[in-house]
Amino acid sequence: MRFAFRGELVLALFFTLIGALWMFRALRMPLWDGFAPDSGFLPLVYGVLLAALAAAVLVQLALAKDSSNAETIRKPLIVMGALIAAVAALPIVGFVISVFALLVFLYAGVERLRLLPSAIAAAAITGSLYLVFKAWLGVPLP
Amino acid sequence: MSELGHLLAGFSAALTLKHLTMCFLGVLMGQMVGVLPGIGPAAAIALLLPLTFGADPTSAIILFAGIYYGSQYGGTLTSVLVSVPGESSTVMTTVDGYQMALQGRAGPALGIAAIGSFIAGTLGTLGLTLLAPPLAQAALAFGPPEYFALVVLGLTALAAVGSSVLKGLVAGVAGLLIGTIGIDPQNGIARFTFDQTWLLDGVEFIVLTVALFGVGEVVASCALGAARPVADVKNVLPTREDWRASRLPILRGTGVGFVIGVLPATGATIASFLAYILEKKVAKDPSRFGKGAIEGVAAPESANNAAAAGAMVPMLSLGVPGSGTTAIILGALIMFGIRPGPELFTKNADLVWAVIASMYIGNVLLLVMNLPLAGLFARLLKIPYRWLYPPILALCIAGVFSQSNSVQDCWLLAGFGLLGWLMKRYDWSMAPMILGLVLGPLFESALRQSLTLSHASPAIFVTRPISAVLLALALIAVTAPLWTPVFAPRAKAI
Amino acid sequence: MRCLTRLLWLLAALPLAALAQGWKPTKDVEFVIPFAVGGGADLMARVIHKIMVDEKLVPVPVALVNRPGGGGAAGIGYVAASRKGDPHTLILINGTTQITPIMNPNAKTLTEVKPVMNLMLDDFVFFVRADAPWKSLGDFIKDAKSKPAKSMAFSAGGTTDTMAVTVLSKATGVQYNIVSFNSGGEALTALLGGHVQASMGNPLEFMGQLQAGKVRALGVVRDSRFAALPDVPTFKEQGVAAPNFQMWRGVAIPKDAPDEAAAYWEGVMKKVAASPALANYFKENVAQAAPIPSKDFHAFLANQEKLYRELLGK
Repeated sequence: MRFAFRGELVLALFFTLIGALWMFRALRMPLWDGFAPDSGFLPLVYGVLLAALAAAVLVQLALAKDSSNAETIRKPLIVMGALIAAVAALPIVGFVISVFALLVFLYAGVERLRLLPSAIAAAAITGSLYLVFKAWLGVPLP
Repeated sequence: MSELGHLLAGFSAALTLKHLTMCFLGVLMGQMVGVLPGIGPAAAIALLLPLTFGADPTSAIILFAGIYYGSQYGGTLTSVLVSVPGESSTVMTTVDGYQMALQGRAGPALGIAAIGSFIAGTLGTLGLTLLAPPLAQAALAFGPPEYFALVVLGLTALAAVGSSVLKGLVAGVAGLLIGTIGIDPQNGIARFTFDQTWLLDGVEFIVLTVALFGVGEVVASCALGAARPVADVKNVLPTREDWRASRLPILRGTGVGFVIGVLPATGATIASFLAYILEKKVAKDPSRFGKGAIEGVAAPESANNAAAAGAMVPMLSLGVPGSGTTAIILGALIMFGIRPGPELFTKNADLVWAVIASMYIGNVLLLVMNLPLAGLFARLLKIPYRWLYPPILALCIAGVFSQSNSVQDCWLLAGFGLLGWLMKRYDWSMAPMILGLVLGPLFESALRQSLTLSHASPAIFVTRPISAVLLALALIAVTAPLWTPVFAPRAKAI
Repeated sequence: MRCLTRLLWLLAALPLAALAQGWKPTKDVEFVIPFAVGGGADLMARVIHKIMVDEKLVPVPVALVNRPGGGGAAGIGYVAASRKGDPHTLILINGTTQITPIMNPNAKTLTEVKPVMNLMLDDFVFFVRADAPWKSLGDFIKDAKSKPAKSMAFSAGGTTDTMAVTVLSKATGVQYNIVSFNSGGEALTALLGGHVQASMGNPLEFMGQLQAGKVRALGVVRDSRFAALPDVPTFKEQGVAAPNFQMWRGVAIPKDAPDEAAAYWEGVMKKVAASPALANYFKENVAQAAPIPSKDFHAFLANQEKLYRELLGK
């Protein structure tokens, strides 16, 4: 059987690890104080529960037949990457440039729409968001 | 005391041009900030507050109240149309509302939300008119053990919201776990912040919802961009059938919402969750929920509006805030030299009754505004998705940033967006995660407060009548499927 | 990335620091509120801002910016990172920002700023329900001493309220059962509902109930009676040797801003403190005006820090 990437396993594994992390960190906190549970108690319970439940899902998935459909994940990954890049650019080039670039990239690069309408739409959207949040609501956009 | 006489006097005050204008401006602004994720009514009121210094306090409070309940209408719009909850109290609307939109029924979804909101807002205001002081007194009976039992009842729904019980539980517990990030409110010690200052306040609720529902949805559906059918806007208004299906959910949602709203420690968000869960529990075919059931829109939308009216009860009659937003309205009252407290109803009767009267008027204005808007905005979905999703992402970024003006929150948006995409892709329901985050902190503080009060004896939960009844209800909710295996439809096979 | 921005700001700030002689703002000023919109600290900052604008105390525009989070640490962290040494920056500071690093040593607050002036003090009052059997603090303490430890439950609306109960506990040698709530409003509700026997908190939240005769104030934790509550005796008057315990609220600028700028802002804040609008704000909020100029402010803060550490056992 060839290796098949199964994202759902990753998801279940992620939750298991997070549960384990919480368990591990909570054990180093005080669990009980006087009459009532202290900071570590419920996080420990949650961590144990999450790790156990997610591990159960993991087992269930591993036993199940591989039913992963062949739907493309290339485009979601590109969109996700573009979002991360835009967030990374926020504090450096500011809101207007990074959001404008994100929109142009998505329209023209990913959706292969023509450049001019893409740029116009991107400018209009960025402009109106800027107006609403910065000018009207006084949000200090970077 | 004649409530009617006071109310009539209130109407004659509220119907003056000045106050009517304020009411209109308030609901209009509420509608707008409701649409924007991140910015909520609390922030809008605080921003306007300095501008109203020196103005007539009645006008100002009418304006603020309008923003508050108006925002409960506005938040629905983005929830239904693009799966980005505009307010924390419209998250549950997203679940079924967005599915309805995909089926071309955005119009009826928005329509029933507006009608339900109107009915709930009006009935809630009626409750406020007739029962405020005695209700507020009754709400005081709710101490930590009662809140604990209420939260337990809410938590029984963790597994019930999604399609797979096990995955729903994983998501729910993950939400509870996210809720422990930040400063422990019981003792001020930081937990799970990994030495990051920006995590000290934990993960903001709206950041998680916008990331999971907004970004997750966009990233998952953009791949299907070409395949995703452009939603056909069929009938714009709810049909007779829709109305018949929603009638009782609206009334139940109103009841749940109002009661939860009156309780000082719970607000519109929890109310909308509980109303949704209640509908799913009483429905003949619960499997329809999450796939575009109109009850799933009608009930939470009614609940959040009734809760907004309910939250005014402790505010006006005790001087205790029933939610974050009413806390700011209280601050405003103090700024105007009006002392909130039990004497407000007698000492400042003019103001109180004018505000209450304006709430009736404001709800009518909102209905008139929203019904035509429902049709108009539903047409927005005719825009091809490839033109629609990039601006949704941009709105998510701007909205999340504006929540606390922090770039780090935008990183959380990207991170949880990735998680949301994976969950969406593999059909893990995300609502339990949100429910966990909402209820987790209240669960923990109520548990710790109760045990402190009882000197560590768990008997406190069953010896107090209200708490005992609520816990019994929770037990019934969990074990119901065991009792009635015939009626319980089997959960969808994984 | 953050290092890069910090470096850029450092470069930008250097010439400013060198040029500041007889300093005056030359560009837009940012007034950073390290708390969420709508809270007590936020409202006070908005009042100060309005006074600065209305009375034209500053020749340039002043923008309010909320950077909430982490008991003030997030906002001050923002100032330390992005507006390092920039004298065109004001920050609202209060007792909570001082407590944060005591509880969580990783969070840096007052060490990152230069305090300019204190403006107000907030009191702590001991409340019981109007139908409670205790008529004075003495009654209450006597009753508490006759019962097993922790029989008396107090609702506290946050760390500072808890500290106020600790003040009482230390002074009387009685252990109380402190139940922590998330806000003063919730603490008040718990008292009104009879879930706890007593509460300590800021007078603001309790004022409406006090005037309506639903709660009784048995004492205030300070050296002399509070003018706004003339009938409430102090702890000391009733034989409880508790230190004066109040929470402060003031204004600071970034740590590395030039002293000339600090002097300028102190001048502005003195004018703000003298404004009737601020006096009115204090009156409505049952707070005490307490302008402490910068030369005394530092000593005051050092004193408070000592007291806080003692109360928190850190």
